[in-house]
Amino acid sequence: MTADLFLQILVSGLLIGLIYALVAVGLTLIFGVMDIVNFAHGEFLMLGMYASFWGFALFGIDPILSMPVTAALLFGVGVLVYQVIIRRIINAPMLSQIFATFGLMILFRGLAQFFWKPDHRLVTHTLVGGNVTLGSIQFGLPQLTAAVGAVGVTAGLWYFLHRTRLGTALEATAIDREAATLMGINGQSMFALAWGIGAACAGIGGALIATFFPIFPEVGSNFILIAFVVVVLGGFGSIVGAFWAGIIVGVIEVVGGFVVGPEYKTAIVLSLLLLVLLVRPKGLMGKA
Amino acid sequence: MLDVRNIQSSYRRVPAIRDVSLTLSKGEIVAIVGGNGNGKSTTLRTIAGLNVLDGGTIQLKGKALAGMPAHERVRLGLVLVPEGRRLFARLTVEQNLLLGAFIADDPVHRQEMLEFAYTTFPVLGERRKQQAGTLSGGEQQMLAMCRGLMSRPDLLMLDEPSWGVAPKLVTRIFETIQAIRERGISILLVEQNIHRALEIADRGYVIQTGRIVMQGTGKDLLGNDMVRQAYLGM
Repeated sequence: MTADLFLQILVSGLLIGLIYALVAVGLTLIFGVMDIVNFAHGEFLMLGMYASFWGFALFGIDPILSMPVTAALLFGVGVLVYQVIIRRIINAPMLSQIFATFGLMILFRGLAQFFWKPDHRLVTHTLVGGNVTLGSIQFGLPQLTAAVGAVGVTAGLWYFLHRTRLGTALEATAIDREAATLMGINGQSMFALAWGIGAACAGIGGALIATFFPIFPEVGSNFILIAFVVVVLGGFGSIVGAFWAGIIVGVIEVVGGFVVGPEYKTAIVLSLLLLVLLVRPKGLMGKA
Repeated sequence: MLDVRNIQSSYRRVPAIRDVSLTLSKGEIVAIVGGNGNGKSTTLRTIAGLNVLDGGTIQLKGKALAGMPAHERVRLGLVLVPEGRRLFARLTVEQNLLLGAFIADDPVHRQEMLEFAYTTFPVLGERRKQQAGTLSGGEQQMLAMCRGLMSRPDLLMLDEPSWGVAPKLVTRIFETIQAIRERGISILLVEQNIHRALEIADRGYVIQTGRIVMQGTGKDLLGNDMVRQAYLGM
């Protein structure tokens, strides 16, 4: 393997990994704040992609430009899902919680099929289209944009949670809901906020991924399995953990796929997950 | 300031307090004493709104609290420093203090209260960037009390403030409680350290199996034969 090839593989892995991280941060945020696994997170991503697609198809707006609207829309979807469904199952048995978000996943897919048909849709041209060549390595500009977006979203979330008053209140609710209540913090509002932000992250992810990936009702499943691996590997609830874990998973997937064969890439990633769980069950940066 | 009448509350469907009535005037220190599992903490938690009120009434400054969510009671000037302190262990000392001032929208207020905390307990200032979980038991208790004061409450409820504190520092904790009262803040205190609590309290209530069985000034209760035998081992 030449140095150029090695570099090319590494960069591809890094870019894919950052896209996984982008999907995973919202998932881990929601879990971190309220210990509920959102199985419909891939569908939030799908809705973000469709929002970008329709913005493009109907109004000719580039997904990158409509991204703030997509994020705001998904924030609304997240808050709505919290208020209508999640709020009622906070203290329910875990199985009920799993079924509720799993059911939501099926509902969203069904609705997308019904209203938008199962066809694959494409955003045919975008501001960030094309390839970038750096010396001997080459990669897609959309992927690079998505990767930069992932860094931005992670950094923004980190800043929000650690440096702002509202973010610290959210973090406090995640640590000890009752103690946060005693500070005058409304736990229900914080939970709604976590769902809003988590879904908005998926919306941003959807807008960025829509620039290079086909859009269809089940598209979320292409990303969500790996996103779960990333969340577990990084440590449930850890934003920074999910970021690094995303990169690790992406690089291992691409390198493993190259060395062993692309058909084994998911198996390699899942083996890595098993290995980490054996040695360090709380994940790389888990808090439990 | 506080008027609690015949309240009842359950813990995991078992009645924990059956009939508790107490009053507290502005600037008073009132202690609730009694053995473990007699409903002391449940009484404070019910007043704070963490436990559901099954019967009776609670009035703060003439306003009925029934049905009001716990987080709104903080805005009325009612703050509970809970049992076991419940600090946000992985956040810094300063973040913990600022969370105590969450309801204060005025940044000047927040800054003033931070400075007050750091001048009262310089050790908190020295460790402001340290995680709260790394402090000693006594320091954690001081942080928890300061966090409770950050919103400038009218009534501060303290649940076992001497718990897990080194004996040397216990005196300091009780001195601090008196100093807080000097600032015009009323105190409702629950303590295992009955002797110390009744020494600084203006009035006290003895609670047994969820009922108030005796009340009086701190001095009277300390001199009472039943209290001395049952709780002070004299």
